[in-house]
Amino acid sequence: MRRAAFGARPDEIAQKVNQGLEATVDELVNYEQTPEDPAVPAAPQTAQGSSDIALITIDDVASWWLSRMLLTKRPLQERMVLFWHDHYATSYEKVNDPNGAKHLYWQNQLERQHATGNFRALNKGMNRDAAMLRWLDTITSTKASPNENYARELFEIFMLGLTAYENGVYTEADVQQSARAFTGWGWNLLRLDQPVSPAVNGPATDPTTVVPIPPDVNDNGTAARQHDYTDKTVFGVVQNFNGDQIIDLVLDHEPQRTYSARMLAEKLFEHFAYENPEDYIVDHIAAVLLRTNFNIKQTLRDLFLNVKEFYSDRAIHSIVKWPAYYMISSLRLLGLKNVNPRGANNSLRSMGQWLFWPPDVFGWPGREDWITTSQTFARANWADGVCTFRAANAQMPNDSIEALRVLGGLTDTSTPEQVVDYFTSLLVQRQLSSNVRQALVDFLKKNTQGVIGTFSITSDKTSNYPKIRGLIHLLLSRPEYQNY
Amino acid sequence: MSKQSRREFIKTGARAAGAGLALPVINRTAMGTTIVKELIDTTVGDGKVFVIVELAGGNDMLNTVIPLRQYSTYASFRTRIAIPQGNVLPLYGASTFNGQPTMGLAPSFQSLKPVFDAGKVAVIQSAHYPNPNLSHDFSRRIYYTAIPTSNIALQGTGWIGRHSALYGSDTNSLDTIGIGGVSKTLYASGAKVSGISANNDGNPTGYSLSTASGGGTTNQTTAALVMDPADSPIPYQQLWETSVTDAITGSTQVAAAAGSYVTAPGVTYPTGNSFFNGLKLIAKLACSSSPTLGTRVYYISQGGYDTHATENTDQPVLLARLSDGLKAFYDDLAGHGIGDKVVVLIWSEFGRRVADNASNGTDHGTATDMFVLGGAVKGGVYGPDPDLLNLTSGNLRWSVDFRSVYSEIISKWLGGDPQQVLGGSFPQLGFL
Repeated sequence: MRRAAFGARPDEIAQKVNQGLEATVDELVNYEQTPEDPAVPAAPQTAQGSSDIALITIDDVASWWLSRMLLTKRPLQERMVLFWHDHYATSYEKVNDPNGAKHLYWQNQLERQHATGNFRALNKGMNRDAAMLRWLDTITSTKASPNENYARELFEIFMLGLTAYENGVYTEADVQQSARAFTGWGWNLLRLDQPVSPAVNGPATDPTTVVPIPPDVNDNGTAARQHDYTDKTVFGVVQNFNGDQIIDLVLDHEPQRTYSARMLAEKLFEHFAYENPEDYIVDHIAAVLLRTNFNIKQTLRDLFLNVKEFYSDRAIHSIVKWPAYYMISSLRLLGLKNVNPRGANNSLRSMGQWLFWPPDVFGWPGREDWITTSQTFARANWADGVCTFRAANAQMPNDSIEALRVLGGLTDTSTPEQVVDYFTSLLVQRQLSSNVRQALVDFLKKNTQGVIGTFSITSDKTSNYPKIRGLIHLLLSRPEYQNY
Repeated sequence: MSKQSRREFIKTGARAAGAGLALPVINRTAMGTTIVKELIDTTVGDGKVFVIVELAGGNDMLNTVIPLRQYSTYASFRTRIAIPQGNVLPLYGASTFNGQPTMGLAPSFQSLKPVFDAGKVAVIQSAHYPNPNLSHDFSRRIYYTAIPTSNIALQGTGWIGRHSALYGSDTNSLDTIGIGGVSKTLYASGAKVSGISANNDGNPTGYSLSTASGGGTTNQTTAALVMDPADSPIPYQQLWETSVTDAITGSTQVAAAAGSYVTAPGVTYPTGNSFFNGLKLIAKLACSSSPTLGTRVYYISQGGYDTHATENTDQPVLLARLSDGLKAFYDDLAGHGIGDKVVVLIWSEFGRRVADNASNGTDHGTATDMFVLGGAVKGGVYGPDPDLLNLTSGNLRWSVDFRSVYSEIISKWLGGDPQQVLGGSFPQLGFL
């Protein structure tokens, strides 16, 4: 639950253990069958509460998405949207025309629609996704002068990976030939830059209705005239490919097909379990992808059920939490579902994961890149803000601490050690070293002069729980809390 | 072995094996590169500062330093985006042909031109590496690591990181500083790195531990600094522990340094862009004498150079920012009396295709220019002019290995043995 969802509290984990692994995995991956929380907002709203798509800003889209992550009863879906947002990393830095926020919202919905769907369909959706067409310059790619940007990143990042290039599985010539298959495809995007009705053009549940593409356009319009209908030679196959047929070629033609499966298999395993997995694990997951025609849901189900390394010691707390995960899982563990995420994307920016502003098309490098001195401050200081008592605008009201106290069975006579141990099990979910545990116990006992005295929940409670708030802040800031 | 103990092993091993000899005496392998610890560090603490500016995305060098001798060829390759010949600025130190300069500077460099003309900017042309790769990720990793071999480049340590591990401070968390993020260039086992972000005033932002939640600042800080004494088997735990510790312990000094700074008389930094803010923050930290931070290397990135489309309108804006920011930075350092103590390297992961595309842009290319700027720099043009009549698959040929530039910076500026950091020797160009 920690690694495949947004974390689970000890009581929730006990309930899952009770219902068994297979039922838990099925509940997680077959999330369509779980009724969504009615509080989950269906679409972004402006700060003034308007749902008019024409007025939506990128901050509205980010706040909406963070709300979804915080409230959803389908955590794997939002985890996979985050995964795909990194995989098809598209930035408002460039997609910032008046329709940019709307287009990135549609792209986010496309990633949600196919979150655990079919990799082939997802790639074809991206072929005509308005934000992607602009981001990688398909909108200006013409027969006379094909733009290589999309074709290059399609192979290098989205579908095959750099290893494939190094091994000669695709070449510079394949990139340049494939680029011709996408010429003219972006032309109809211009239509979307006029005021449009969301009922007609979004959200992008059916991308083909959003951006008509050649050669389906038979009106001899500009798009068709900009498309190159002559033969292209890709992976040695000569054919009048269009963009979708390039996707099919990659996923149907060996050895590209196997390379694509292995690239995705490794990336999925590294997202959920641990880095640099053994070849046989990648082979196993890739085989599931190939067997299921690149079905993500069936692949994840197999990964969570049948890959024993997913449950090995090496996989426990092995991956550095992405900042969005860190933020959302912290709030969910603390039961703070009333927090308004508007503006929280600024905190994510400081932590290094500004949603809708990935650093470049490669997404967030992650791993050690999440761990800089300023980013450790950003996590700790965001947590401090959440934990701080504010009478008027409490992010963590006293009631929520009281609820956690009851959940943990802590009473007025609980010892500081019991308090530390409970909040450690709730949040960190692994043992702290004895000296770290002692430092936290001492923190609870210290008076304002730093002299060790006594701690009681009763006295802490009467002044809005300053010690417990400080303890939670310290735990959320600790190195031991930063991996899942 | 932990980061710290590996570092200690390198250092103490070398010292113990050959005390008193001023020669490298022992080889150790750190992260795939053999390095030799010099016995005596002569370089630390002499106050020299090195700043790296990355132009992320692959800057189009042919529209940065314009080939005037081959102008008609250039113009025919770039019917949509060629810079008009009359707008090109004279480039200090360019070769001449029939009495005319062979290369010129983009008009966007107007503000920085006086620094060029003062002979304080070296332009290293036709730089790159064997078997050029057109992938952003691949190529920039090669520049980060200085290892142009794919497999190692993908996993390797940064060249500055390796230098830091050998010659930098063991204890100063501010030994190297990344502005905004931290580039892989700065990483290696044993390197001390901090990452600091700038606000609109060029001040460090969010760079102190907030403790409003409760229990008191001192009590919270004390508890936050207690770390597990054991080597954790969990990935990245030591790095987290080091980063949290370095952040808290370095934050007071960083705040004091930034607080003590006053911009030099007559200097005004342009505003409204994170690159300007970052340069100003570097100036604040580098100029500080109370306290002296001892930072040897700063790293900052300016993005947006992947100009597949609308380059003719986008690149001039980027280059003007680069020029305006660096001019203020250069003047500010000079005004603080440390103009001769700071050298700036400006680089990009590749140049771009010689021919433009129909999107008024250019696709990925190969050979590139590097720039070295500073009061101690011997300005001028190094490396041969690009030859637009002798291309490989539509791309320029390279002839200066970029590691020559790194090598010279190590041996003449940072101090240390380039062979140990770069794993090979490269002819130097003489710009320092």
